[in-house]
Amino acid sequence: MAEAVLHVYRGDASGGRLQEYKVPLEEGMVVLDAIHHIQGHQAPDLAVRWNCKAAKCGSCSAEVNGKPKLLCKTRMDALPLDAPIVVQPMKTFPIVKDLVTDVKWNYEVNKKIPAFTPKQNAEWRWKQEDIDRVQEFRKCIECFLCQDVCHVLRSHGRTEEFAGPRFLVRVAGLEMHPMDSLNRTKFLKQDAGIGLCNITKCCTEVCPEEITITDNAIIPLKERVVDDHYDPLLKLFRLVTGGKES
Amino acid sequence: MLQPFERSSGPDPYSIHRKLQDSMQSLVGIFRTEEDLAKGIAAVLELKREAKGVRVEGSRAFNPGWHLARDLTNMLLISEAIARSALLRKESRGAHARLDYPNPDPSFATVNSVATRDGEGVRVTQAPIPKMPDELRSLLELEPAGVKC
Repeated sequence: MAEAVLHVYRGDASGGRLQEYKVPLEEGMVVLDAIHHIQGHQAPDLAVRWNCKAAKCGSCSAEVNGKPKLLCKTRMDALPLDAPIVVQPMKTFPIVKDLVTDVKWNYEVNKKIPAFTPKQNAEWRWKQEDIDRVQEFRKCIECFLCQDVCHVLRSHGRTEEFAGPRFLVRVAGLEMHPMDSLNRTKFLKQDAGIGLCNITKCCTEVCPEEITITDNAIIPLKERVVDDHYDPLLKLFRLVTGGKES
Repeated sequence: MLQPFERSSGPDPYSIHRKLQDSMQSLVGIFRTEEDLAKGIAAVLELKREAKGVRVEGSRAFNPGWHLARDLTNMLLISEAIARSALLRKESRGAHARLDYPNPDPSFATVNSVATRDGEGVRVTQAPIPKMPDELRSLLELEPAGVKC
């Protein structure tokens, strides 16, 4: 029977290394199946977080051959099998054990976002295209692969200043909601650090839900921030009229 | 709780899990017979015995093998309850299909199977189906009469 060779990261906060395992190949197999095979036959204490096996829960995020992937959505037959398949935990987040990382920072960031605030006494009717626009952002499964790949977080560790693509997507979903009444540009500029994003589009590339994160969420938000905070004509106008910056 | 770590030998939890899955799938599956169900119960009891000596490796931190060792107790308990109540229900009804009793039996329509923990095992008895509360019954009786929903 054909075999695949995997190099799986084994370790915890104190350090670790890649360990080699051989797994029999089956038709339609994904990397998570291979990890489960290792768990069931060779290393019962191999830690991996998973739930749905259907690319909808966002739990099994890891890095396969250096690329951020959902383990359950990465087919073995899509990978070159002449070299070992390297499976590592997400680099951006602190490791708990083996392939499991602690992603709680994300939930802390999420709490800071001003929540949906509906318009008062407004009629609850809006156009299909407005629904579709927001619906794209609501596809997010919070796998945090975009947070993992984003160089602002991954290479520069700016977790204090930058909310990351996932939460810019959430803000976009709120800002573009036709029934929402808040303006979040000040939050985006000061707390979410949207200016730190320099549009490398890596987040869009890794998104398993294929949300066009950069083009549809981040860039329109950047434009709103520029309108509200950097437009020289508006600044002059506000100076003359005494209007306040939002 | 920590005993599985202390044992120097014993089956690993995943092998027991696989055997339980295989037994339940082939003996207590979709189409059931008295013979299969009896074999299924025997298999579960044997695995219960095996699971008592289960051994896990590694640390207590995020250890799926240890978690499974703990889960096995519940899986085995539920498996026994399923198999025993299936054996007792000598009819076919809904998702419970008995090849040796292919038709529904009206006498089973009036009873629930109740599984109770009995020492380390499971005892299944029959209890009459509780009477439907009046407020629910009135809804069901009203509906076909053309109540607007």
